[in-house]
Amino acid sequence: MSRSNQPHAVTAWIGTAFRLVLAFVLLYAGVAKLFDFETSRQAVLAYRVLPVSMASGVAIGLPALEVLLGLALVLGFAVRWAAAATAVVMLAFIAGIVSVWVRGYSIDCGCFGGGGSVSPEGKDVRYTLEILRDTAFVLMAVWLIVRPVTRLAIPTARPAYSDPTDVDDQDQQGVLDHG
Amino acid sequence: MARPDDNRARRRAAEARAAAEAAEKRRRRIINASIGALLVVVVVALVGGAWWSTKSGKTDGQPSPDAALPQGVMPANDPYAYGVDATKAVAGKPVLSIWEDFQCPACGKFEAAYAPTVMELAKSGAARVIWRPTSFLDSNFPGENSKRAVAAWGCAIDAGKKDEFHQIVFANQPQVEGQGWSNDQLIAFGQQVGIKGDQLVNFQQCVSSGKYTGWSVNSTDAMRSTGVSSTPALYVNGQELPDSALKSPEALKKAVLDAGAPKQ
Repeated sequence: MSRSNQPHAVTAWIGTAFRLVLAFVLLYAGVAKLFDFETSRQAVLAYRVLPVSMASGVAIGLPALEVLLGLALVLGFAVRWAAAATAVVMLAFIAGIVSVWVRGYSIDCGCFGGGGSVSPEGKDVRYTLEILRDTAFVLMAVWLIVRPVTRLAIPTARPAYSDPTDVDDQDQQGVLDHG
Repeated sequence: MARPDDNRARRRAAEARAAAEAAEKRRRRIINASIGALLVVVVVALVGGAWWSTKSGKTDGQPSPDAALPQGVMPANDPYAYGVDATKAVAGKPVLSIWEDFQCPACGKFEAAYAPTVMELAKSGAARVIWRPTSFLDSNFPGENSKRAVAAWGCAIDAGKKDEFHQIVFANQPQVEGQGWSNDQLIAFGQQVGIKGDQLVNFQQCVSSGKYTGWSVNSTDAMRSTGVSSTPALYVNGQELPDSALKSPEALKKAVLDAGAPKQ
């Protein structure tokens, strides 16, 4: 194998930073919600988007998904898939915030384990900041979809989707590659 | 030189390489699948652990069917279960029910702006006003301030100071949401609204013993089952009031009166 397996250094480190930030955010948000089921369920209900019967399931399922994605990202496993799923989750949050905003409700978005009533003042500022924050996460996730190769990740097999002639898709450790 | 031998050798080498690659691919697939499965197992274990810890923790958060209720409070099988009529109930008039948490700042603001209008509707007999208490905000803050405030209100209801105590708590919300009120403060509120003598002794005992905390838990549970998720939540004849009804006291009054008698 004459071609170098090492991706461009700066790209890889930027990707590593994004990957770890997203991993931390997902793990923190997921665990916080998992260990406070009532508040999490309250937060789901506060959006008034899903039927009441689904609230309990989502209150457990969503944080479980977040933890799964967070673990995958922190390890650097299936980065492209995990990043794609993360982008979808973040877009769903943005859609949720926009939907309560246009309907004029005032809620604590409950993204980080809170949830319930909040005073209407400053809700526009709060919603804007939350949407900006989640948009930043979406952009980080998109970066990782395009450039999934990063540093500080576990050695793993080459993902099935990659084109073997594409340098950027080759796995960084090269441990399981024959030289 | 024997060309066929060279070809055969090259073919065998190619086959060997292909076989090695296939074996390698299989190995990679197994490793990937194993890591994936391991992650799923970890998450399932976490969910199980979280579930178990919630179940074993909050035992007093469970509703109790035979919890003591203050005088006049609606029983569990009423459509407005655990609710408090602001004044004498009137028939054939629109029913305005209001979910409130004593710690909720938005509820404090609502009360400050709309209490006179609401009470006028109730006292004039133009509508039936039902307060429905909840202590759901307790899960956001340390302590059980909402629960104790509702329980103290129950004690005040027994002492005949239903409206006054309801008002005074909202008028004295702390600067920082979550700080709540100590039992001593709640008892002081009772004194301020005129509970005295033997009634005061009963009131103090009622508050200190948390006699009506079960009522608070039950009412909060009822709120959750109806899908109400934020407060204040206003309903007329069971229909949620749109936000336009809260543009002004006049708008609220109109929205309530326009609803007419509840359908039977």
